[in-house]
Amino acid sequence: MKKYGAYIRCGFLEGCAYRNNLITGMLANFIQTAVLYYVWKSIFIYQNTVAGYTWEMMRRYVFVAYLCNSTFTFGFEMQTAKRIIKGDIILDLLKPVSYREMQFFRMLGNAVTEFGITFVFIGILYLGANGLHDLSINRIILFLISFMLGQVIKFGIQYIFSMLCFYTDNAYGVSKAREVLTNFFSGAIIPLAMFPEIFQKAVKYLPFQGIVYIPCSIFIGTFSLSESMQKIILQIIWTLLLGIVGNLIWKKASSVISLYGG
Amino acid sequence: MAQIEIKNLKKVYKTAEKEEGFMGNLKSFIHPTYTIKKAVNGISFSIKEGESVAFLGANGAGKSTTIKMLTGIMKPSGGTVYIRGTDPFQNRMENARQIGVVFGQKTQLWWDIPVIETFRLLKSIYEIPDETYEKNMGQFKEILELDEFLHQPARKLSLGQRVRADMAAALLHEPPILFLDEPTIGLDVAVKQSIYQFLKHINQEKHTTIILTSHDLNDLESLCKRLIILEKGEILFDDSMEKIFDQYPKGMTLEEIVIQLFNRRKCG
Amino acid sequence: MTKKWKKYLYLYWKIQLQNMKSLMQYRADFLMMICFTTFSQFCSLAVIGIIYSNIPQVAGWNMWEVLFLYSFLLFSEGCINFFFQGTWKIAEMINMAELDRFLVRPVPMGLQLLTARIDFDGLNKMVIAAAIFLLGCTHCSVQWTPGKIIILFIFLLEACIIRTGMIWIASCMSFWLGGNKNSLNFFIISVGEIAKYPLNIYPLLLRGIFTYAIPYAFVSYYPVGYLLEKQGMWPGVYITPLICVIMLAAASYALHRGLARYESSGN
Repeated sequence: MKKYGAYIRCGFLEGCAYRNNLITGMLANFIQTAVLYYVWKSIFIYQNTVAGYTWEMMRRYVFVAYLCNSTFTFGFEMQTAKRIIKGDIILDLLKPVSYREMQFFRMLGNAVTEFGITFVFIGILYLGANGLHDLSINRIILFLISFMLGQVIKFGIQYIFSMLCFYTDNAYGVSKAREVLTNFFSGAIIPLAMFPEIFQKAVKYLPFQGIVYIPCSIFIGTFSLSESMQKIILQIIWTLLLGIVGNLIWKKASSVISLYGG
Repeated sequence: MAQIEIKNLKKVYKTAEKEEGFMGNLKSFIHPTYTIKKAVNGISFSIKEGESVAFLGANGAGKSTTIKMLTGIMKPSGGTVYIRGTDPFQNRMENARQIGVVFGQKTQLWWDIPVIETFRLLKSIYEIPDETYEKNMGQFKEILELDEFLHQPARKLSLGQRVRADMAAALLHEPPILFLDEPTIGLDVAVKQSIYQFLKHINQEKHTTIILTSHDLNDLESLCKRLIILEKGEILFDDSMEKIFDQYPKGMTLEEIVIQLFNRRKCG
Repeated sequence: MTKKWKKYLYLYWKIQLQNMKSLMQYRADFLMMICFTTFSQFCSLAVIGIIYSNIPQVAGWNMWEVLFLYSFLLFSEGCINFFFQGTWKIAEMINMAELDRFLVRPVPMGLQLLTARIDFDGLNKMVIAAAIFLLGCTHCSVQWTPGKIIILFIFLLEACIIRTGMIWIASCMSFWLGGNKNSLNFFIISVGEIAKYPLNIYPLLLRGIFTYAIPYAFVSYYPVGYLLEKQGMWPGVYITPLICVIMLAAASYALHRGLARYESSGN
C-alpha cells in the first residue's frame, strides 16, 4: 500500500508542476458547462418541462454532471501515447508494480487538486442557485458511493482506450473520440431520459451511464432509493467487467511494445 | 573578408527556480525567482574562408549555444555576429542559404518520407539547379554510400545511415560554410572514419569552411587546423592545432592536454 | 514580389504533397480517424436533434438554422485540419526543440510551420459539413444569389483565418510558458463549443469574452446570422475583416517575439 501512496504523491506533484494545464483544463470544462447551462435555460423559456425535467431539476443536473464528468480525465491517453513514443513505457514495465494500478494512483494524486477546487466551486454555485432544500443525507451518501464508482468506471474506459495508442500514432484523435463517446452516452450533455426510445435501450447495455447519469439521477432524486441501490449494483458489475476487459487487452497490447523498443 | 566575425558575443539564460513541496510550488507560482546563467560570456573571434575549426569544451561550456547563435537559431543576448556580412538572426533566410548544418542529436530529414524525397524537397527549397543537384548527388552517393537506404523513410535508418544522409542534406546546396554539432556522437569507428574523410575532402576540394564541435579529440586532430577551447562560456585557447602541442611536453596527446587544461582551470 | 509568393505557393504544395505521402504510412490511423470523426459528428448532431425534438426554436433560431451554423463551423474546422494543421505542431515542436531544423532553412517560418503536418481527417469533416450544410440550407429561407455564394466563401476564409490565428497565438505561448506546460491551444479548441449555438443565448459577460477576447463570435455567429438575415448582424460582419487583420498581425508578432526567446533546449 505504501508504494501506492508514493504514486499518489507523485501524481499530486505532477499536477502542481503542470498547474497551467490544470487551470486551463478546468476553465475549458467550466465554459463548456456554462454553454450547456445557457442552452437549457433558453429552452426552458418555451416550456416548463422537458421529458419530465423541470428547469430546477435540470439546473441541478448540469452542476452535478459537471462535477462527475470533469475531474479525473485530463489527457490520460495522451500521456500514455507519449510514454510509448518516447519508449518510457518500458521503464514502467520494469517496475514491480502493476501498470494499471500505478496509473490509477498517479491519476488519483493528479486529480486531488482539481477535484478539490471543482468541488468547492460547484458547491458554492449549487448552493447559490438552489439553496439547501431537497438535500437528504441518504441521497448524499448514495451519491458519493455512486460518484466514486463512476470515477472508477471512467478510469476503466480511459485505460482501455489508452491501449489503442499502442496501435496508432494519433493519440489526440483517440482521446477526442473517447471524450465524445463518454460525454454523449454518459448523459453529461443530455440526460439519458431525453434520448429517443432506441438510444435509451442501447444505452442500458453500455457502461457510460455509470459515470454521470446514475450519480446525477440519484442526487437530484429522479431515481427512488431502491432504484438507486439497483443502479449502484449495476455500477459495481461494470467496474468488474471493465477491469477484466482491461486486463485482457493489456495482455494483447503489451506484446506490441517490443516493436517500439528501439 | 572574414567568413565569420564575432565580437563580444553573449548568451544569458533565465531559468525559474523551483522549490520543494507544495508551499514551494505555491510560492514560485505567485512570485517566481529566476537564476541567471551565462552560457556564453563575451567571446570574440573571426574565421577565414576555407578554415576548419574545432570547438572543444566540457559539457555545458557553451559550444552548442555558440553554434546555435551562429546559425541563426538563437538570438544573442549581446555582441555581434556576422556570417559573410549578414546577421544570422535578423536575416535568417538570407543566412540559411549560405550555411549547411548537421546536428548529431537531431535529424533534419523528414521523418516519414523516403530519404530521396527529402533531397528532392531540399532541391526545391534551396532552388538548386538541376545539374548541380545531379552532380552533388552522384558524388555523395559514391562517398557516403547512400544507395543502400535512399528509398527508406528516415525513421527506419540506423544512426550511422541517418548521419550520412543528414550530411548529404546539409551540403546539397553547396554552402560555403558548414556547421556540425557533435556529428559523430554515438557512431562506430568505421562510420566516424568515413565521415571525417568526407569532411576533409569537402574542405580541400570545395574550400568549404568547417566549424565543428566534438568529443572525438583524436579525429579532430587530423581534420581541423585550428582549435578553439571554451570553458564556462569563455575562450580558453584559440590558435592553430600545432601551437597547442608546442606548449606542452612532447608526446602528449590532445586528449591529455585538454584534460590538463580543464583541471588547471578548475583549480586556478 | 509576386515571384516570391509564387515560389512560396509552390513550396507549400511540394511540402504538403510529401506530407500526404508520409500519411500513407499510417493507413490504420487514417481509417480509425475517419470512423471516430464520423461518429463524433453523429453524436453532435444527435444532441442538436434531441434538443430540438421538444421545442421549435432556441433564442429565435430553429433547428435548420442551427444546423447551418454548425456546418459552417465544422467546414472551417475541416479546412484548418487539412490546410493548416501544422499550427497544432508549433507547441510540440517548441517543447522538443525541433524548430532548429526549420530555422536553418531559407523558407519563412510561417510557411514551414503551417506545413509541418497535414490531417486528412479534415477532408472527412468538410464532406460531412457540406452534407449538413445542404440539409440545413434546403430548410432555411435563404435566397441564394451568386453574390451570396461569394460572400459565403469570403466568410469561410475569414473564419479559417481567425481560428488558425487563435490556435497559432495560443501555441506560440509555449515560447514563454516553456516546457510542455502549455495547454492553451487545447483550451481554445474546447471553448469553441460556444460557437455551436447562437451567441444571443449567453449572458453579456460570456458574449463579451467571446467577441472581444477570444473572437469566436466572428467565426460563426455573425457571418451565419448575416446570411440568414437575422437582426443586427451587419456591424459584426463589417468588423470581421478587421479582426482577421488583427489576428494575422498578432500571430506574426507572437512568432517573432517568441523566436527571439527561443532557447532550443531539450537536448
